[in-house]
Amino acid sequence: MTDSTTPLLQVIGLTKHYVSPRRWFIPKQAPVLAVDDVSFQIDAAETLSLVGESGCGKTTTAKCVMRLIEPTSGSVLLQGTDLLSLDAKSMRQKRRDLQIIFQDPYASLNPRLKSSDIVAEPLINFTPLSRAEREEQVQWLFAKVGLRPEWASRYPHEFSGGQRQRLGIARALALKPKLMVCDEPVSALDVSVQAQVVNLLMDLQDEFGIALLFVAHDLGVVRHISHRVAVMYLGHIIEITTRDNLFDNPLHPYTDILLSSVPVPNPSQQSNRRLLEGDPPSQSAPPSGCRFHTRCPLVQAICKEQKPELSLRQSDHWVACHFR
Amino acid sequence: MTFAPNNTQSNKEPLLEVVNLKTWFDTLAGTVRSVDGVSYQVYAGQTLGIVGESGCGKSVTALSILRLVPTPPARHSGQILFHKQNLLELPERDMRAIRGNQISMVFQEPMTSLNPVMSIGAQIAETIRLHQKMTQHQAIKRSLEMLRLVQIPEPERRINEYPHQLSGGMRQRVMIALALVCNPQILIADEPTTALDVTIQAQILALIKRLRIELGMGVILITHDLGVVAESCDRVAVMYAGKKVEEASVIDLFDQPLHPYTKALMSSMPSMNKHSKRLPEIPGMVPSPKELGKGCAFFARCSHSTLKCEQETPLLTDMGSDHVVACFAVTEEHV
Amino acid sequence: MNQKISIAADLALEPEYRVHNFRWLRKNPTLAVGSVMLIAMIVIAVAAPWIATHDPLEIDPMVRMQGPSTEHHFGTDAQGRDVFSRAVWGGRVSLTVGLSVALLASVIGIGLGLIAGFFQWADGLIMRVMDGLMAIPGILLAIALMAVTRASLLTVIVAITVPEIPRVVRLVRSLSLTLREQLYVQAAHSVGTQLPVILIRHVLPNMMAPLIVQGSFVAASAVLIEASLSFLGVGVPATIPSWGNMMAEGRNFVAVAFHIILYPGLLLAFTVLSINLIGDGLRDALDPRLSRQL
Repeated sequence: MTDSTTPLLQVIGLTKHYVSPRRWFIPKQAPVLAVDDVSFQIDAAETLSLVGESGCGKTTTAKCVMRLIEPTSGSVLLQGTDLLSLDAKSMRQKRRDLQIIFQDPYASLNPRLKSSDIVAEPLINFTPLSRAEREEQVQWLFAKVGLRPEWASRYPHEFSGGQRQRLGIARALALKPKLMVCDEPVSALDVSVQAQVVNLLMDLQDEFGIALLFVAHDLGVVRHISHRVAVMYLGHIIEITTRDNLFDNPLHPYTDILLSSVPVPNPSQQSNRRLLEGDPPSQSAPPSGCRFHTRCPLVQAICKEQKPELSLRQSDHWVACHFR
Repeated sequence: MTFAPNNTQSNKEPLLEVVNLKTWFDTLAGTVRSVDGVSYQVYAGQTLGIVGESGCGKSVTALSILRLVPTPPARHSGQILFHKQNLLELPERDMRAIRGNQISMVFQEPMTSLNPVMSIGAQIAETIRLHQKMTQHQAIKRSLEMLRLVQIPEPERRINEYPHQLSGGMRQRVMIALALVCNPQILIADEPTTALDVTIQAQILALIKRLRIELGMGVILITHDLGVVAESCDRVAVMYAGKKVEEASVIDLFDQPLHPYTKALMSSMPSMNKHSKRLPEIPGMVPSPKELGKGCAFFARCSHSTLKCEQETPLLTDMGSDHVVACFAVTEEHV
Repeated sequence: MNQKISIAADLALEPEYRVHNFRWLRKNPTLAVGSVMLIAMIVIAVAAPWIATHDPLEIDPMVRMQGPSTEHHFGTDAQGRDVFSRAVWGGRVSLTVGLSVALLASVIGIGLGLIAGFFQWADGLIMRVMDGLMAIPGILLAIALMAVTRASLLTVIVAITVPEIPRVVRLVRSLSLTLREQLYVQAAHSVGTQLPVILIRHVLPNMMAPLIVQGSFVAASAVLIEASLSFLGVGVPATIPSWGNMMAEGRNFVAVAFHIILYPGLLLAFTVLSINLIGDGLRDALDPRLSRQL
């Protein structure tokens, strides 16, 4: 945040509201505030993780950054250019620098296409390579993600979940993008395979200088792969800081409870777990003031009335809370 | 509050004993040995954890106990002893009296396990009246009690709501209420929190633990998450490719894991407390159940394997204090 | 009819199903039987000039209304024409109409359905027109269309296609709406693939299974409608032997010469049954849930 160089990605005031369609016989319903005034930035070759629970808006944020969903307002600046102001043609060109890896390795690959065709698709779209040159590139990509090049003629259903995810990574890597949005890329995989994919992403980041916007709910993976972490709750970022700061010194009460809720794989260390009371509130009728006040152990009168802004509390550590 | 696992079992009779269970599926592509000779015991007031990755057969084991696996493609052998009866040989009518009544199950996906067109009160009442003689009025009262037991706030209002009106955590609580309504002796929980957020997961696991103590049940908890195991289980069985490869008390297992797979699994979990640069990986993939040969199933991925491992199947050996492991590298080194 | 659309629509959603495996043919008697039946019918129709014992148009009043004999396998009709030969030639009409209508309705239906599914502004317009077409019973619409044109095989095909189009459009549109949201379509969009290419490469191939099933039902329906039109006298010209117009003539002589209406009727039923069996068999064979093994 104190850098003088322009960050690779700057998201400012990103907002996405879902409004139910108006019909004359349906009374007006409150819009669902999926993402509400979210701002952050990512530097080149850096990993920012967005964590939070279901309904917090992290996936919607990621898709808005990719412009797979049209945000209601805000700006997304990729190397200074606001993606949201571009027309369809220019946006398409920008997609060379901005790729996404999806959560579901089964649904994100067209079952009817050979894996080599799937990985080659970005090359077909943007490069004037001949078929032979493309094949060569595909082989290189396969090798880079740890897949045997002779599998290029196989179909997705012939690969395991972890391998399919590698195919997705190969496809995203094809154009050597500057930023990859990873939407829970390892959640659907077995533990032993998760490690392989996480290591792969980190290796690619080191080799190609790719920045990662990593959306996840598994804090163990987040701790491993991130440089910075942002915690979201009900559409807002409530804490954002470096990885070590977040895990060693969480300031926001929600972050604190979130971290302590993760089960520790050590039976002798089952110390005090702070449990979260109640259920997540509804997205269309969020609590007034601070969205977390209905479940917060530190709640006071002011929390119900006034929404706390994200403020700098310690060095590079921003929190949205009246008391921390 | 220190965690004191309930570990004394040698002098008690098990509630449920699975003896050399095999569940094989006959398919066009060959015989799939989903569960290939698994044995374990469940004791009252204790939680047995079954840990493994997808495809290892842990869910099929549980489904086999309740005979929920369709037996034309599947074949069972072995015994499942409950109250001196072999559940695999029981007629279907008697099995129905056991399911939901003496042995209950909670599944992973609460949304698809609940009937979307019945209110949750009606569903619980239906389960009650299936197994016990009660009027509808009495059954509804009992439903209310159950909702309170699983700590659903405002149960009087919620009892008439439909599954889609509840959050994931609430629905799972309703599933638990459904499972416990007839005071079963055994609860099987198949990845009950995998689909839930981590904060809700913590609530549900605490609930299951509390209820286990209150109702004195034996619990089988199936999961892939070692953290969940460490927190909730007393004994743990590790499964790989249809076989049990290690079993121990939870403290022993985490303190001194013996089987190479267990060790690899533990070290490849990106837990919150580790800072290593690279996550240790387990190379290769879980073999598909059709590919199993005569050696140890983990042979191809194991860093300690020898020629013997490829040709002979290691048997479970007791290494002392009820810690069993099936691995030549371990048993032969030890001896 | 609606049930068939919804069942067919389910087929498009599953990403996993076995593509390169012919075992299902063995395990699927419905499909096997239907295919054999239809192939038999096709062979007969194609070989009509060689199988027919007589000229199907040749009138011979001396032998009218004779029952089946060695000379006339199916007997003769009111004008002395050989029923067997006419029936065999009539097969060509039915199969041609069935296949052509299925193809034409599918092509037009896919085009309209994709537009309706992917372009919001066209959706309302197209679907209301389809609703209007569906409101009119298919046969009546076909009859009306035949009334304003000269009867020929081509016009019959067009007339029957028009009422069949809405079914296909509805199916394709609903499939489009679901496939649009599939992750691999979003992925294609994110790597910069443009919409026409997305439609051809990602959407269309994944619709083929339910479309083929639907196509078979359209074919069966078309065969029946053609027979009905010809029966009513507004189908193919009387100079072309068709099962429908054979049955129309035979209708008057049911008591004395039942064979005139019997044989074309049997062949019609046989053909429609075979197509329906193929459709059902395909649906089961292509359903990933039924064919998936553990």
